[in-house]
Amino acid sequence: MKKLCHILWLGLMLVAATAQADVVLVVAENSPIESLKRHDVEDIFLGKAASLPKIGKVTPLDRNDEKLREQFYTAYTGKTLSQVKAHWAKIIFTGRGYPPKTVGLDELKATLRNNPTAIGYMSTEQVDDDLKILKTN
Amino acid sequence: MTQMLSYKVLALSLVLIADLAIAEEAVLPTEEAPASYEANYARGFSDVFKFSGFGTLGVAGSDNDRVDFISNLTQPNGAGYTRDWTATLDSRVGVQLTFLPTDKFSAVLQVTAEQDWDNSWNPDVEWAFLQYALTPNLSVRAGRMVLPLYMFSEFRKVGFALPWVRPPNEFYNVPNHTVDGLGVLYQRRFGAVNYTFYGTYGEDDSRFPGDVHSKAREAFTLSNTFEYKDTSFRASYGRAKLTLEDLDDFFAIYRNFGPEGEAIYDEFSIRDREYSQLALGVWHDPGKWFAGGEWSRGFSDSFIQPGDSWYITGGYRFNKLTPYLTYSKTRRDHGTTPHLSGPTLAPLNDLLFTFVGPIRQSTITVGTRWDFAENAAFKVQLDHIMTEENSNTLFTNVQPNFDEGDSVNLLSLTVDFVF
Repeated sequence: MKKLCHILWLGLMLVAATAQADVVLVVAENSPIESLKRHDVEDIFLGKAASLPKIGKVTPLDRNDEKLREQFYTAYTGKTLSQVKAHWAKIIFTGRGYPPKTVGLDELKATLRNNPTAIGYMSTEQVDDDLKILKTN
Repeated sequence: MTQMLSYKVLALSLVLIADLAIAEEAVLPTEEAPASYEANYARGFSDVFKFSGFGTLGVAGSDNDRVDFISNLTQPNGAGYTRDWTATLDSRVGVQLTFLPTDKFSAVLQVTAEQDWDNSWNPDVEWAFLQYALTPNLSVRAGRMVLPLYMFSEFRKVGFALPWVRPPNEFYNVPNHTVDGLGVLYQRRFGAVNYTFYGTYGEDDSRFPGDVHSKAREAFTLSNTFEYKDTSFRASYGRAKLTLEDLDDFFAIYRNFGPEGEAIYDEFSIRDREYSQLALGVWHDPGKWFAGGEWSRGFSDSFIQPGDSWYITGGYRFNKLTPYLTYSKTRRDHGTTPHLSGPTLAPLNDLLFTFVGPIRQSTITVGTRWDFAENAAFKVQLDHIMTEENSNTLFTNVQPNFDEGDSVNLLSLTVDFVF
């Protein structure tokens, strides 16, 4: 009985883990970017900076999958989608920039492979072998 | 003397920026990767031309019919005396066209339409500038820009980007909001701190109710923002030489009343007179809630009252609802001022008081924002505005039966949207 409980518990944990698949930042395999600080992610995806120290200009890409987008911004910037939208209104209407281009998974993967300075995000199970997951700290 | 000092500060800042830009290029030789990508990446129409807009539909009602509440000094009337309820306080629309032919060059044109000084809704050019990025961190601008006076100044009309219906009135009622001239924008991360400098220099001509012309010359603003994690600090300094000919002509009338009158004109003249101000701000927003405030001190060589203004605000996000609370206050005062003696001249002193007397006013604001859609928010806000004895206020169309010390309650309902 105790063992059965244990197995059930493990099973539940596994289900929970897959349901809450992590969102990861992804670049091309040959990208010069290896890891990013949490504030760099915010700078790039919230339009606070156009370039990274020692890397230069980077091109962030947003996703058209709203659920994934929400998951990404909550996890990496602590902002909800409406907060992100209000933030961009500030940037756009003071002439300081435009939000990242929004793309689907296929277009994202194609862009990442063609452009070593492009940065995108996807859920872990969507990452192919020729893409690199960025460490964030 | 102060002018010389100001120029030195500006020159020093520019040198500092130039130095930083050069230093940065020296340690950053990796510009090749994006350049080669740029070469085989064709910009589509939607990458080159961007069209966006914002707007607010709002109504506001006041419980005091002896004064008009206005949200901007350019408004000839508002809620209260002219009408109990009005849609003219906060309603507006703005459209923006951005041209981005290359990574380095951009052009921005933003036009807004709202109640103007002459009661018309003629569109005004809010932004119209060309920008060139000398390095990824340093850009120069030429054209019309909104002055970066305070934390929310540059987007004070974009209701969707504000937590409140409008920025705190005691703090944000400034006559000249834009400048035609040059701007320098510099952004760089220093470890955990993201630093932004924005400086503008130029001139402005604005019009106010009664066809009053306000000229700002040799106007510059230097603004510094430091962002550290969820907190940002801001410090700015601005200065301009102001001329309001119609008002100067009014003060000149007092010169007919001997040395006392000459002293009045000398103190309050507004022909090429300097106004400067220092502003500090702090904002903390970890996501679930926000809190912040700003403080400013104005220095004046004309009839414009010098003094301090400040506000403190905070809000908590319950999913799509964000209730907030604000307290704002202004105290601007010339101290003891010259006046005409002799009982028969009392009406002239009273008239003078309405222009140069102290301005003391404070407001308690409660409200909530409801993000009912991704591109739109509904807000409801109640302002309790308190005036003081022997003081002027920020209201307009003040009727003789308005008692100094009275309070005004204003209820505002708005829908803000962006597209």
